[in-house]
Amino acid sequence: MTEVYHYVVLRLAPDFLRGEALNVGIVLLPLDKQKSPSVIMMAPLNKLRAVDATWDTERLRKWARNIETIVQMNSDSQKIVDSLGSFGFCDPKAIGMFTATSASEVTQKISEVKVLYVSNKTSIERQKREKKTRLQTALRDQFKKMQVLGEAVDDLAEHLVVPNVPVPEYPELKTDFLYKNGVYRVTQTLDYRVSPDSLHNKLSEACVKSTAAELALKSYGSDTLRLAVLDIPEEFRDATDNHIDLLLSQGFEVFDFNDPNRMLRFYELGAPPPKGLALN
Amino acid sequence: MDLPLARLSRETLACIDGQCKRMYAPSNKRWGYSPYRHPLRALMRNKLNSTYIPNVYPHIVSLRPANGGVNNLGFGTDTQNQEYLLKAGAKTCIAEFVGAGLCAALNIEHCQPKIVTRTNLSGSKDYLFGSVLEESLLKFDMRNISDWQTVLAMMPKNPFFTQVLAVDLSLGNDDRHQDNWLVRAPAKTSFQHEMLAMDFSNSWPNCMPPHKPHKHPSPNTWNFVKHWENLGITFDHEHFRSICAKISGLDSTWITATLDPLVGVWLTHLDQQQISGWWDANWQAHIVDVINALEIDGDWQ
Repeated sequence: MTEVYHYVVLRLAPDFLRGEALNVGIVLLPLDKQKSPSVIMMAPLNKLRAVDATWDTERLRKWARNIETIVQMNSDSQKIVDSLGSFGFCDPKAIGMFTATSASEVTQKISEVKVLYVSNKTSIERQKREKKTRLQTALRDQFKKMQVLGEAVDDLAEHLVVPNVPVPEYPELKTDFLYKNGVYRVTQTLDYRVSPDSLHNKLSEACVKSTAAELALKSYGSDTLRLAVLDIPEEFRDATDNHIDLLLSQGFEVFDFNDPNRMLRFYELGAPPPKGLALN
Repeated sequence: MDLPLARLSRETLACIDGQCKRMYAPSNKRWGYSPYRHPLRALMRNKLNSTYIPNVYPHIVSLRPANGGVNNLGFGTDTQNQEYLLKAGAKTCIAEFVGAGLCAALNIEHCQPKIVTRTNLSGSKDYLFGSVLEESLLKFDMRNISDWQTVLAMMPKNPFFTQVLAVDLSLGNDDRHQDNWLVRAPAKTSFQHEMLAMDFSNSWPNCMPPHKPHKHPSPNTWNFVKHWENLGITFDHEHFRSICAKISGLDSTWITATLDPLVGVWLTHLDQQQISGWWDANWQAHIVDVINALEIDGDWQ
């Protein structure tokens, strides 16, 4: 059943004289009277401390407790909003609303509200930025020199190599490089130039990348070429044998980034002929 | 056939005036006893298909509030995923419809007004004004001079701002600041942008009578006009007069028809009659004042 939830954004002015108010959370007001209103604090302490360094966890907790007291003192939603508004803890006219059919949808909508009103936007954008390994950067640079590197998915139609393409229907999964000429050519990379402590993570990365390629085949066709480029330092060669076995068993052709002859073969398969400088 | 409420209202009033009794009289076999055969019922059935009927207005299912938004409640989305800029308050909502109606009558680009509903804190439905946010609207930083200059350079050289000024001064709108505009992306066949006027919340009949041009409580409209020169906007006196002449030519049937969809939502028939009555008695004299204010006081720009 679809349920209606209202909310007001909680505003905290860390310094009375400066009067700069920050959005720090919400009060969620379910329309269903069986459910209680709840105070949901969302802002990290450092958001307040950027304005006034005297704020600490205890002071913020005390502030939130006060909001909870005001909420509990009032019998209905309108009174809660009016009281919070009269103390300057919210804009009583700015009442938000969403509908949800399940508890998980409520959680999701609250996350959206947090992103919209409370989270530091810069940090969200930063999180979205893809981490690139040295191997991926090296391949990008090589494709750029060959003048075959595309930017957007549309560039596939121009027979360019497009980096970081989401797998259709599974946008969380990516193919590191994708190129189409007759058939699709999916390239996944594994960069083993990491500290020995992190080596164990590479097996799961190999699994994820292999799964992504497998799922991509559903959309790109079973004749899609699966290519894997691995950069393995000499000291890890023995430890990574089972990773390579996994990729081979999944239908990948595996290329050693440190073997120039094999890489020439990779560029023949995974990219169009160079338009610019010759291959390194 | 979808009948406008204007016609229904006249029929309703006629009914109240006595025709109804005659139609329902048992001796009148022409209509019989079946209420569904009554012509008013036929109209009521048609009215159910109308967009003016309560409960068929778009219903807001998500509202992102505008903190500190004064008249603006925020952005709402209805069940069909259409987005609106929302406003509350009967007078504000009526003023928005009148402003949009006047722009429409004069072929001035404006936001499309809608009556929408939402579930309020107590769980009942209330009516809001929703300004439809078209998909073709562009992101435009209204406080950035270079954004303004870019958009103005891509607009057709028509006296759009003069026309909107004429509407604002006629309606006593003292709140036409730099934020109250929207930019529509060019259509496929054109490279030119279009600007839309939005926000008539402070206008007549919210302010009754309309503010005199040089007695605006808020300086926003005139402050923006003073800024025109910096943006490269010019005042077209000829068009101003021509638009004012068209505005003064709109009689009270126009305002009555404009208010018709709002009767039963934010207005009673009596309110509607009072507003129309004021228009009948004062509108033309008020427009003469508006024109004179600009002709006599040459220092306004």
